[in-house]
Amino acid sequence: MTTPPPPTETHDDAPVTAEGVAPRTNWFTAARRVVPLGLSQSVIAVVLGIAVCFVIMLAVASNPIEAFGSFVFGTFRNPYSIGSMIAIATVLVLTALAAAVGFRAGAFNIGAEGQLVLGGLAAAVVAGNAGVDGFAGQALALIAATVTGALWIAVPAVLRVKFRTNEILTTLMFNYIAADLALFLVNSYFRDPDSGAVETPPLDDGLWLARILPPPSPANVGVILVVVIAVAMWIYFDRTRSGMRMEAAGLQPAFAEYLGVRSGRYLFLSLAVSGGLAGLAGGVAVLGITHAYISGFSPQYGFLGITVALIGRLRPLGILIAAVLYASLMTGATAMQATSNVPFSLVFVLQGVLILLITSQRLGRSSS
Amino acid sequence: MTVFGDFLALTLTSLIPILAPAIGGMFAERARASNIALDGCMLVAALAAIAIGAATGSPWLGLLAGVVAGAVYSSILAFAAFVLRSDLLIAGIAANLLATGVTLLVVQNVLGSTGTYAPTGVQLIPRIPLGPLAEIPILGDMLDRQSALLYITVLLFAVGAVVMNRTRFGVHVKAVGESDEAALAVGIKPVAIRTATLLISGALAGVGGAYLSISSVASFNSNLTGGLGFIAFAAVIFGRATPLGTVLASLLFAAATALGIQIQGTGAVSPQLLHMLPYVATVVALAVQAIGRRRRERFDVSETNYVPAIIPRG
Repeated sequence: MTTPPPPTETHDDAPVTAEGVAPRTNWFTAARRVVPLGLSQSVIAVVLGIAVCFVIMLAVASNPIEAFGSFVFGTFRNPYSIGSMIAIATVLVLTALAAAVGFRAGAFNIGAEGQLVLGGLAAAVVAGNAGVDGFAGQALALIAATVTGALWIAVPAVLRVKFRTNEILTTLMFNYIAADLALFLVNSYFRDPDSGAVETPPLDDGLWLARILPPPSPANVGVILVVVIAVAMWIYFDRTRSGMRMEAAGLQPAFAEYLGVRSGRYLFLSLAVSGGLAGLAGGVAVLGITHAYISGFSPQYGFLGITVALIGRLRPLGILIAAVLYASLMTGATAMQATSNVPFSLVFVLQGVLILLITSQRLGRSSS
Repeated sequence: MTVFGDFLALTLTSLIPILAPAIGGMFAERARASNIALDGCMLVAALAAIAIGAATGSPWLGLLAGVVAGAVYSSILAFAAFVLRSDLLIAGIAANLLATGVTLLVVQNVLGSTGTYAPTGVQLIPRIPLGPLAEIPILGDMLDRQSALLYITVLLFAVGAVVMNRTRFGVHVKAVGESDEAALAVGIKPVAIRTATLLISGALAGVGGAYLSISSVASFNSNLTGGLGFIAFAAVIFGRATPLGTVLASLLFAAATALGIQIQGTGAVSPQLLHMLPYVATVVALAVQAIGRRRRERFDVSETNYVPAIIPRG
């Protein structure tokens, strides 16, 4: 191994801000340069990630070529799989937007999984108990999911903005707390008495998000909702002053303060939106796919959102494409698990490899 | 056996998988190479320990396999950070997610179990009886029949403290943590030191992982760590990456775990609510630390004000 040049880090001395002297730039800020993430970087990471999967299949599969075919193309072999893919992509877009809005404002919300689980539970409980049917009931449930997600990130967000507590650790811990809390709430109050599993009673089909493909395909109108949200976010970041300020606050908090941007407020706003989107993702998954809160209903949608956000280069339109790509690999992995001896967990390996590679400054640096 | 003695015994038991990874995490943090992948290292190590332990029939070879697996796994992180020049924290999170995927895959495809891998004939790391000393009040309750790994962990901590504060390597770690330029000027290679601290933290996380699979229980599943690696990482941050601070923070989180287990025994509170206790304690500790820091307007090296490396432009 050749020794790479040491990371060039600068130690700025206390920059002056609107509020007086800012804290000494610590190493976390100092060590990180703004790295433009190029399209080629996403493509290289995806190709390498899939190549790693293929190598694993060569090692473990009895018929690697067939397994690989199912993994990559399995989704497109029948309409039901395509519907599943769309339904999964719908949820992934939301969790990816949740990750992206945090990243762009300079925060790493890794607690999307917890926000999603509690958002999903809130949606199931509100839909099941509000006594409102049809569209109004769905809207109420999705709002409850969003609010729950935003509330669940409130404590880490306040700690981060007011006291500069490491939000990676706090949001992560809140994932574990959310899992325990959801289990407790369902077991104590909301459990379906007719079911042996930890789940809420199934929802009336009037409360399901309307299907856009014939049953049993789970593709639903949630897909329209997420495209609208993605476009709204694109407009916000690229066309509004507030969005530009949020991004400036994320890039250079001290400089933004100097220009009169209250970076703390934007950071808090971005985290609240991030939590809300993750909560909404849970609501969409429950009303659109499982039609009840089922313990373990999320195959790590929250964490997968980070992968999708990074592949989509944190941009809403990129995220739409990346979500379709990743969802089709997930549905493909389901097909692969059914037809070969390679398990679904390959998508988690792929996820890890992709994130490891995607921020690399050595792979496919595009000129910025 | 008194209730209090019981609590202390449980605290020490819970200390092993928190302190062991935290000692290594402390070196990495001090060298500014935060290893947030301690949890993933523990998970991979736990699987290696039980698989080798079952294959060889020796828990000590299992432990060795865990240590090696932890170090090898953390070398992935070092490779990503220093060769591919990926963002260290994002790569660390990736390494944790990858660990879940890899262990699931290995359990299902190589070891041929679904979900939980529980091979027969696994020898556990021996527990050490105190013999006549067990009659000493409190102390006897506390230490009788604890896993040998407790003593190993305490020994590792003592060695870690001495290495950090009394050796050339410790000075180099701290120098790299202070300033790359200054370290380079006196001939210390920052990347080499950081790689070493990452490998050390992986190896010690391996001790914690091995404890989980071949001392605490004799089985493995991909949720085995339950975030203990992150709690260990939090202990490093809360302990300001000093040996004393790290051990005290680890004891605090271990005590929270023990308290949860003990109240659970009374059946008074829902087990799910009690299970939250160590995670809540971690958040509270980090919050108290941050609020205190804000009051004093002092900022230490392990503070993490995170700015992501990936901002899409161009």
